[in-house]
Amino acid sequence: MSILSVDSISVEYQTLSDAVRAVQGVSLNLKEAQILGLAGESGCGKSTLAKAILRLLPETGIVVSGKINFKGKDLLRLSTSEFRELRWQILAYIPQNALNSLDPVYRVGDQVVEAILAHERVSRNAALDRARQLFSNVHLDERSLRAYPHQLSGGMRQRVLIAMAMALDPPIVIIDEPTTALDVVTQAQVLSELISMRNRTSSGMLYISHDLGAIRQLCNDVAVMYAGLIIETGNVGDIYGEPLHPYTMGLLNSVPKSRGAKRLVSIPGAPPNLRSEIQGCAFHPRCPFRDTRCVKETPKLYEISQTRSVACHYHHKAKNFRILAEDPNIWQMPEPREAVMSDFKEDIVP
Amino acid sequence: MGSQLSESGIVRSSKPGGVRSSVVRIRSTKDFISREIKRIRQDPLALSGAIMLLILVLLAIFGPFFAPYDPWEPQYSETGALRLTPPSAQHWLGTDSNARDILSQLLYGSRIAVGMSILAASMIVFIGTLIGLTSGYFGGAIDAILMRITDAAFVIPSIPFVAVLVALTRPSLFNIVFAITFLYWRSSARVVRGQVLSLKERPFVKASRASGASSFYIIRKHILPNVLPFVTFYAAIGVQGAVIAEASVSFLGFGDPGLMSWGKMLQYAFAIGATRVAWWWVIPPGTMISLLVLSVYLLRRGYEEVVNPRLIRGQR
Amino acid sequence: MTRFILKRILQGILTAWVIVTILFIVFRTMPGDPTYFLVDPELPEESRELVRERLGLNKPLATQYFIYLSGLAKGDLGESLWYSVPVSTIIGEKFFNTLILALLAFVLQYSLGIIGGIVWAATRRSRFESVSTIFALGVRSMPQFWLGIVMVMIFGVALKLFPTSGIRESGYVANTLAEKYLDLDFLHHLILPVAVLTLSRIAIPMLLLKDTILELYGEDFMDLIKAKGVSRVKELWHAARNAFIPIVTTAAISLGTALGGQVMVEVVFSWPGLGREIIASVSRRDYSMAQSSFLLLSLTVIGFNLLADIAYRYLDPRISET
Repeated sequence: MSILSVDSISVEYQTLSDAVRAVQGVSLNLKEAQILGLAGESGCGKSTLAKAILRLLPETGIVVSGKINFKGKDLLRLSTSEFRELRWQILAYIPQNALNSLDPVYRVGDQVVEAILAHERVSRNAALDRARQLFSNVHLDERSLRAYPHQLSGGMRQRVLIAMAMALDPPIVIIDEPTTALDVVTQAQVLSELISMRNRTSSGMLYISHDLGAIRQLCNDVAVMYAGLIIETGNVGDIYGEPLHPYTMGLLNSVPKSRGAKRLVSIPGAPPNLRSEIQGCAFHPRCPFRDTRCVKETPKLYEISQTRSVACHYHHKAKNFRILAEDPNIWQMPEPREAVMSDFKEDIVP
Repeated sequence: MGSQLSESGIVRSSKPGGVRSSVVRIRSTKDFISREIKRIRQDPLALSGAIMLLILVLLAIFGPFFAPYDPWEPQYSETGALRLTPPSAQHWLGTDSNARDILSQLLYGSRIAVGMSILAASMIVFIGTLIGLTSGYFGGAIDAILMRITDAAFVIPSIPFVAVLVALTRPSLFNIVFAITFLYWRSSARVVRGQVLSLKERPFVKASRASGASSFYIIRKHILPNVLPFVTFYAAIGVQGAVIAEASVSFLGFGDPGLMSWGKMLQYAFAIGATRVAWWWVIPPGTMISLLVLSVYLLRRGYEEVVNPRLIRGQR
Repeated sequence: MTRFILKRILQGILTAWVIVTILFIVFRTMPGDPTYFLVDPELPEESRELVRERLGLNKPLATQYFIYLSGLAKGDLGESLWYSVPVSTIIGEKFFNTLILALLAFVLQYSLGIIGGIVWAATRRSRFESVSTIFALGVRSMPQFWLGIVMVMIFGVALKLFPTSGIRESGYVANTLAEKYLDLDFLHHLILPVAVLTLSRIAIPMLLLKDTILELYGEDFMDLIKAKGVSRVKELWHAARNAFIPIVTTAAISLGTALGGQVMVEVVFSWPGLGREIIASVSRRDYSMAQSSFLLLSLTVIGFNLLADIAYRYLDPRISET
């Protein structure tokens, strides 16, 4: 029961001089009651993808190709008013940085009521009652309804956003980095609210974050993005236990694990410039396992199984890579050692 | 503190919403200039403003050479003095009540308007920046005193005060410029001070201090270039204010008697009562003043965002 | 809130005192003999001396200052050397005349300007926006006195729709407040100067509102509002409601600047207000009158700034009461 099907979406930001390819040919499938995590570092295009789905792209952002299907309808083809009807009722949004996301001159309760009244013909009192209920679901006191955004703490504001998103019980909720602007303690609180929300409803959620720990706790499946592309997908257990893409391995290395004192490793270098056409694998300049094929040939998303895919030419060597990836020295190499590849001469399967 | 307000820019934070912290660090004067040129080229309004201003400056420099007549000489024809004649082939903008050619007056007047306003703006900016820098960087008692004075300056009605100051002294152009400067440095001082205060806390300044750089060096190398956008903005406002102030003061009769400025032309017309009919005398000088002010407006439009301190959010 | 108000009032008084002192210094050091107009030049120097003494001009500056300050505290503004009556008796009416013009123009400027600004922001097609911006800035760039002259030429002289100067027809005897101001002739005289003042400055709130609203559309909270699927009108209103904050802030400062520049319109239209009086008194070296008029004008500006500060605190719920 797929409720949202993103089909080969490409998004560009057009400036006066050039175009930035923020999202390139991304496809996703969100099922009912599924929590899909979208992981990746800043600038990889995950927020852009979310905005594209929600039609919140700035004027410079254009969806150049692809479809977004909901119940057979291509959302991109809907008119503004048709889409407006869908908003919030079908597609809800929990943005990051709650202080900036709430209107500073209106009380938060009124802002939730506004969301309800925009789509349902109920009395204001009825809407207020529902808001009260929604607030209590996220452990917010009734008094908070009358507060202004700046009067609430960061965690409380984020919970307001969660409550507001569930106001119309939408089948799809897009959650964009809700814990970024918060301190660690509050992050944990908000995460627990999200988990209880997940347990309460059957909405499908697209959870966008660079926080791999949070994704692991909340999501069923994960898609990893890099430089505007999906480079690996799978369920949570597979991705965290047996990552197939070197980038995923590097990402996981930089997450402190609770057991064992492993040294934290970071991936040297920076993501590629999205203004120019990328040659070969987008990750190859930073990949310790690259070779000439990676430089020249862009890997497609190889489907390993129904739920598993990876964009790496050498995914069959993933097991070996994983072992090597735990060594921090591998990640400091400016050039890949020829010896690395020759180590596996016997395993090479063209 | 008194209200930190200026008319065109909101000095105190009034911007709702979050702070878009796209605070660009300007590394040097050259960096600033190249940014500016790029911005102007990309904005059609700013570009038209720049062209207009360029034409006016050229007019100011070369105009008087092309003036067909001496602006002070009464003009005669066979029938007698050409008083108050409408535009004709010999006098494209007609003549005034003293039979003087209006086009020539206009051209000579451009030199006064452009020159005086640039001079006044420079002085305003220089003093305002100096005070703002000193007040902001050194703080303490100096800051308190200077800001109190600025507060008072904000509240005094400008045109009447300039008129009074000029009436105190001799009505010469320099005194007019001086009087204008005396009052108009207030806005730039306040904003520069605010910017210096926030710059003082930025890492690269703190690092500089930590490594023992002298105050003078820090101000010159780090603070000044980053204050430049504000300085240029207020220079622009200074030009506009000076043009209008000079025209107004001359119109009131306190202008420099030896100079034929655009405001002076209008004063003559009004005093004679010719403003009721002599549209050729009234329209040109006013239009020129408006164009000069407008060109600067168009140029500085793009600045409002930079100068509107979302950077200085919520501080009184 | 009350503490804030008190604090601001105190600051206002301090500023007022600074201004009183500045004005005193400026006016008393004016070259030119104030007795020039009062005493027949034929008369011997002694009579001039007598007049000077009577007016207290002989005493050292410091003494004059204290006399003046104590007089002010009692409400005594001195005597007008030109009109030969106490300043306080005539300054009231002039002040009122100025206020009527200023407040009326201000109300029109901001109400029409805000509506115009919102409508402008709602219809944002780029060519229209550029052209209308230039037009609005163009009017804003015109010297007010010139705009006045031009409008007199068109509407007063050519079309003969409005009177071209003065506050009412001469020869009209008006004694009570009602007779003076609730009168059609007065209103008829009021229209053109108010129109000039309004037109000249209406671009300020209009442009500010339009620019602020359009900028706000890029802010994060507008994204969420859009995502909620509210109507376009509601969306616009959210932006406008936030945009009001900078409007209020600039409104008072705008009024202050407007008051300062109003002198030009008063001169062009021979409107008997405070601004015109300042200029006239300065020319006549009637410094009690000039000083008092100036002071009154400055105090008004201080008052309006105070009101704006209070209104701003009230409008923006983020400002806490410290």
